[in-house]
Amino acid sequence: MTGDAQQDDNLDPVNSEGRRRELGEFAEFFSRLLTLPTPPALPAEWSTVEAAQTLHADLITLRQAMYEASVGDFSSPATLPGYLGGVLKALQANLRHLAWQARMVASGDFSQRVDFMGEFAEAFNSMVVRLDQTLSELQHKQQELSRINGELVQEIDSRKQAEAALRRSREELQRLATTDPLTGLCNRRQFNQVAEEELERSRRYGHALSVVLFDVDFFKRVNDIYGHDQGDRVLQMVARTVEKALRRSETLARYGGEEFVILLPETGAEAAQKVAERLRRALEGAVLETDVGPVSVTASFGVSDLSARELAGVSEKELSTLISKADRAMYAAKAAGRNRVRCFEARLFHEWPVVSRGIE
Amino acid sequence: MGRSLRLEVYRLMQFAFRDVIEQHNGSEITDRIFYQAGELAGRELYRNALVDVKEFGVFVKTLQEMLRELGIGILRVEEADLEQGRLVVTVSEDLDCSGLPELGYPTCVYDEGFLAGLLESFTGSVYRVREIDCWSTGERTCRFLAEREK
Repeated sequence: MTGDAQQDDNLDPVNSEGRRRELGEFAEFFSRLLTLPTPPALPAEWSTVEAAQTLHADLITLRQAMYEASVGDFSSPATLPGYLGGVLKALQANLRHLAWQARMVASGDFSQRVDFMGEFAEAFNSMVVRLDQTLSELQHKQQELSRINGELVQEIDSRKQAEAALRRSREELQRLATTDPLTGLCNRRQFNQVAEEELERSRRYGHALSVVLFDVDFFKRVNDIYGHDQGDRVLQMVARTVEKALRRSETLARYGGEEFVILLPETGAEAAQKVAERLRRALEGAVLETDVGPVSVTASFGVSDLSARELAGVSEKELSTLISKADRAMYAAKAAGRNRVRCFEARLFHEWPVVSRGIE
Repeated sequence: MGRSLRLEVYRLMQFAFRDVIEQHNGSEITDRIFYQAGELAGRELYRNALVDVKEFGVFVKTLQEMLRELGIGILRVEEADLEQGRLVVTVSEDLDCSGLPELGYPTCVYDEGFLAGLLESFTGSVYRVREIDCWSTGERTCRFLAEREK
């Protein structure tokens, strides 16, 4: 550079060396303002220049806004004017809207889609679609489970009903198998079963046990005079009359035809005879109302009990023996004029070696 | 020509209307006229296109699509608490103001009324909408605060 040119340059306020240096310092300062962790204060020589103050303040605002955006804090209003402010504002509005959309998704609105912010929007939308699908699948599975559960409950109910019906059916069969259909009393089979158990207990504990066998006197005449239907009614009423006079522990059964049998646990022959006498009187005094008018009947009673030998468990045919003895005693009562009670005695084996069913 | 109407023509007409009305009635009454016109437009838009929408999320989504398609602006919801009756929404690229020089005051009075009419129709409650940021105040994105009237 010639001396003249040098002189001209120093005199030119725009291109002078001093001016270039000053511009360089200015640019370097604002570059530091953008790069340093802590923003430098505006140097004193520029602090009176309004444009420098505004630029410094705007860049500090921009730094702060960028920092807040980087940590997701959009609570402060974006106050920067112009293009950069507009960009920040748009970013703030977009992210706030995105936060609202995320809250809507959380509340179950899966129609939300993001149509801004590029790749992030795609990821968000995929997530919402997947969430929607997953939730739908879960709801579907839940409905399926509820349906299966409902079917199971129905199945359990129907099985319970079937079991109850089966139980009722079994109970009914049991009742039919153990009950005399005419009188509702135990039938002979049931009586034998109960009696065997009671005999076993008596044998084990050495307790007394008696059997009373009774037969309605002249029952054939009732049938002949009033008919079989009324005869059946009479048998039912005899059953009710005797049943009422017995305790719960005493078993009354229809043994066959017009013949009934009573098992008296814990009862010896003497007490059993008293019971039989009470029953005989009850029947004798009872007026049995039938369709054809009042009917009175009597019955003959035979009583037998376990002998000391039998209590010791000697006999193998105790029940049949016991009933056979009561049977003989009953026929002795019939032979003696009916409507009476007889206890078994050994001599009856000779008097009635074979029980005749010809006597009414 | 309808679909190729240029923005300048629309704005020329709108601002011409506004200036003349303002000359005759003053700014306050003009603002009120524009707000009420916006309310009427919002109600009519709702009656014609949104009346079957029941869910708020669907309402917003449908409205967003419509406003974008009609070139009115890009609607975003920043806050929405219908129980408390308070919403903050933004409209970018607003038909009425985007690109205008900074005037120092908000200009989207018609949009305020428009949003109020829509919200009133959807919720059944009267909302007061106020523009709190506007392109015309140098904010670039318009932000509206809607509050249910007590």
